[in-house]
Amino acid sequence: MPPPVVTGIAPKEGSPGTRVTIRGENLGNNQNDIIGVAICGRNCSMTVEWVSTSKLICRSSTGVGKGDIVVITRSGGTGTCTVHFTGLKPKRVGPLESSPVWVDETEYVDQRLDRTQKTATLSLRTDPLGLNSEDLGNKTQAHMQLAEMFVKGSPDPTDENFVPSWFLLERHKNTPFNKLKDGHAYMKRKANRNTNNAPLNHVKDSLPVFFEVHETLSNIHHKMLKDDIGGSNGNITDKLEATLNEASEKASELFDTVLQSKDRADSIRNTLNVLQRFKFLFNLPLSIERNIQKGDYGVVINDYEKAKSLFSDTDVGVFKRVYNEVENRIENFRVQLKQEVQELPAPLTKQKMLIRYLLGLGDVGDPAWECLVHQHGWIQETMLKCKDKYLEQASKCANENDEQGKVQVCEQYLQELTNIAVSQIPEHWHLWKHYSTGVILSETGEKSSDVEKLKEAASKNYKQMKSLLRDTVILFVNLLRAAFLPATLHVEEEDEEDINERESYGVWPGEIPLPATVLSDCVRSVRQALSELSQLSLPHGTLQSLKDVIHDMRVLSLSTFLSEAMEDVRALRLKEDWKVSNKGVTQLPSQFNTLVQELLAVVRDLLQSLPGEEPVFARLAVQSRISQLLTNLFLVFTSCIERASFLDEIEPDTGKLASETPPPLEQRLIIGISNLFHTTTNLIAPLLQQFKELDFPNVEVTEQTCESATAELDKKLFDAYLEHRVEPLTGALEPGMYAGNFDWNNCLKPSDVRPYIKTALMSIITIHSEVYSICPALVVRVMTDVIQAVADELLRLVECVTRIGVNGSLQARLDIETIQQATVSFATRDSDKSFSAALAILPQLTNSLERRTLDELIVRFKSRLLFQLRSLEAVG
Amino acid sequence: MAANKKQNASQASLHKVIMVGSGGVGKSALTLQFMYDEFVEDYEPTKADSYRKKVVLDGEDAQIDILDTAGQEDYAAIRDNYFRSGEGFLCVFSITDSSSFDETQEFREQILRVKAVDSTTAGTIPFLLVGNKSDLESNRQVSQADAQALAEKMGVQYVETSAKTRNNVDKAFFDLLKLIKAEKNKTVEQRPADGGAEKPGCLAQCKKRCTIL
Repeated sequence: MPPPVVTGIAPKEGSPGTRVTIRGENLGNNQNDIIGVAICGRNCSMTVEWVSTSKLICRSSTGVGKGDIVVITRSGGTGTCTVHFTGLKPKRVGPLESSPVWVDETEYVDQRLDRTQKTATLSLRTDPLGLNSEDLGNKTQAHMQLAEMFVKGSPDPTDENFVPSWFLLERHKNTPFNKLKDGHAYMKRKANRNTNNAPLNHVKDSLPVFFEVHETLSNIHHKMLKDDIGGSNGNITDKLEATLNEASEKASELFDTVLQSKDRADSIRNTLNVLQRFKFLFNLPLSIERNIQKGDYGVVINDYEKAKSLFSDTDVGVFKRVYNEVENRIENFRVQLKQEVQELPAPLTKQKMLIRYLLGLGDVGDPAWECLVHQHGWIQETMLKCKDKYLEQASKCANENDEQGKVQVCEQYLQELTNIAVSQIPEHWHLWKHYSTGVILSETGEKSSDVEKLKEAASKNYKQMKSLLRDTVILFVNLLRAAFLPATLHVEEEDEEDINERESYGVWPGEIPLPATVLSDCVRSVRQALSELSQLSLPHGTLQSLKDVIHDMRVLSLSTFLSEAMEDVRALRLKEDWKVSNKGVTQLPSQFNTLVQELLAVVRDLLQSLPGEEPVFARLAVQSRISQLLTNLFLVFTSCIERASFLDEIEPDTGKLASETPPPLEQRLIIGISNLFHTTTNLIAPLLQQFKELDFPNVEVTEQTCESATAELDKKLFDAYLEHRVEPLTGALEPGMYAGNFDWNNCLKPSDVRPYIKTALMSIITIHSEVYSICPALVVRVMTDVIQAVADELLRLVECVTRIGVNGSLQARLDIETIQQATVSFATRDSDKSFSAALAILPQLTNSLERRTLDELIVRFKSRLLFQLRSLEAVG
Repeated sequence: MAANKKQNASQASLHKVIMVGSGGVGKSALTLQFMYDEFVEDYEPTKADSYRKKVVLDGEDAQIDILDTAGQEDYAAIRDNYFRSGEGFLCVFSITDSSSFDETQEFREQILRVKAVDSTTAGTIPFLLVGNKSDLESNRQVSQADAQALAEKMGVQYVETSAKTRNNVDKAFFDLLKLIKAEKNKTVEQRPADGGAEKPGCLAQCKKRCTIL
């Protein structure tokens, strides 16, 4: 924008303070664009009012005479003007004149002594020539020129340097000569007139003169008194004094009433002024009270600060009294605020506000820190209260043997405790943050000495704050431990303090550990709490104890899970219903499988370490314990099978479970073997693999232990079975052989296989069918052993025969061969060897006829027992 | 450049115009309309306002200095001074106010007296009779014929203007400026030998009267 140009001014002249409209071009874009306006070289910027870019309004200053109007704008710089303003001398108002505007009274006093000015006014009012000044308008214009002409003179008739020519030129330039003559005559007349008739008017008219005379006379009087020449000129002084007094009295009479009323007005005005000026202070106590009630704390603080800066070291009694009152109220207010700050829980913003108020009130000490300490105490107290509440409930439950109720109480306790921790610790920390960064004083973070001071105070308290926080977290952790991990709280029995401390965390009733699900819930909650607290970026190490407790909880939870699973597995035995599937397996192994799978599912979540968490198996002690538990889990199952099979130690109260009478021992043994076999081959390896995938420690050891245990059990079961089945069979051979006083040496020619062989065969078939019906897979294994045993027994019996006849020999051969051929499907090398050995002991066949007869008999036998023998062909 | 311009500005002739007329006839409105193309609705009595503007008169740069005077009787005493310094006069009345029309004669007489001219030389004073508020035709109290008659009697031009619609505003000012310019050219031609400015003349006048005393 080009520089401003002033092309118009309205009005073009005036006394100081005249409202002037300035017009022109480029007079700024807005009020802020105006840097300054000068009229007649005097700054008028204070009064400038921007109307438009072509119009400004301001008030003229004290510049006198014709001068420039300069507008300076930011956008255009210093301007020029084509018109000018003429500043006039300020108007004066006499002491007895009414004026519509405020009069500066200092000037009024000066004016009384300003003789020239006064007389000028006087002379203007009354013309000494008694003529009307016909042309006052001329004066202004001609004045300057006349003043140049009469440099040392004055047009004032009362002035010492009165120049009559100037007076006449100024006042009577156009007066005709004869009129001036009349004026002269009038002046003479007036001078001769007795002025006593109007002394008052005279005094009024020549008041300044009177003042001066009075002053001069007083001076003379004083001097005379001083010189002490009263003796010689006593009359003169007396007269003078009398006159003086008289004049004084007259003057006083004249002005007494005026002066008195003025004095009164002055004093009233003064009082009013004082009241008005300090209205703020006098109203303050009341307004403080009102604002506190309204909750406008900010206003209260502002007022107080203002009052403090203004009146705190006042010497005026009234102010002191009022200010003390103010101080009292503020003190009460502080107390009230402090109480309010300590009311918890409170939202952070409210706390901050209250603390800011307290700081604003210039509270001694550090309200923020006090608040923090108090809050710390409050949080701890709240936690302890929470503990007491639930502990009581838990004790009640424990007294009523309400295990379920106790668990519920524990869960609720956990919930509430973590809630307290998660909600209050962050509040606490945030407050500290605001305190330490100074945000509490100024939201915008602007720097000021107050903020710096606050920060300094905060940095001193940092360590303490850290320990406060750690205390809170440790209390939280210990309360958790007391409730959920009582074993982890070590107490020195001797140390009373220690015991007291332990008791303060609450001794929870009941020895029975909490269910693993509750513990895992607990882990989840505490993890949640930890993750929330971690976001706060608390001082390093504060949350370590929380991390520890999580770890402990996880370990405990894991081992509890394992133990619980173990108990469940142990109980499986009682659920055995002996219903055999087509694979020869009851539901026992699958139930075991399901249990373990369930366990795996629960444990998986638990084992997953969150970032920053110590893995569960990181510690050696934990490793060996868990490994032990895992091994036990599998061992329990094998023992479960064992005990189910032998049906020993069935507790009397579990009889109800055996709604179906369990099958006989032999069948149970077979089922046991089958189950075990199934478990070993199909279940254990995959399960262990899964555990391995979950990083369970020492799974190999478990596997080995497990393998050996199963193998052992298998052998035991198998042996038991053989014992129960084969021994009666083989034991029956000898008595059968010699039944009816049979004599190998003296017997008939064999016509058929002897009955004991038939019985033995029938027994074998029975065993076969038993095993086959349960588990075909086991048939070979059982049968080979059975045949082996039979073969061995036969060999023994044959060896025991001392004398044997031809018929006997034939009979024996028939028997042995028959049984060998019948059980050929299950023959082993050992059984064959035993059979051959037995046959070898017998005398050799002498001729082929015997052989033929033998074969015929065998064939006949076989054909008779075709169906029975066919059954043995089923190998499984 | 700037110096050059300044020089030009100072060389450009300056014509001093005085706005006279009764209170409220629209002197200031005419002035502001002419100066700033602005119509001021609210009425604020003027004391004495001064404006200056560059104009192009007959193809030459010129400056017009407008003194907007007070119409109110209260300021009558100081008018003489202003009138003395004026080179041309726009005597304004309102066509909706017959008294303002009547008062134009008094203004005319006062000007002639201050300028010390008699009826024979009255034509040397550039003077325009202006009937303002021509937009308020419905409230007209002064007929155009009456105004024209008075103007003829005075021996001056008559223009009807409207400060509100800017009708004839420029014409009134420029007509007057042309009169002033013409009159100045005449005086310059007449007075090369005189060699004196106005001011000493005034002083001389004062001195003359002194001697009478």
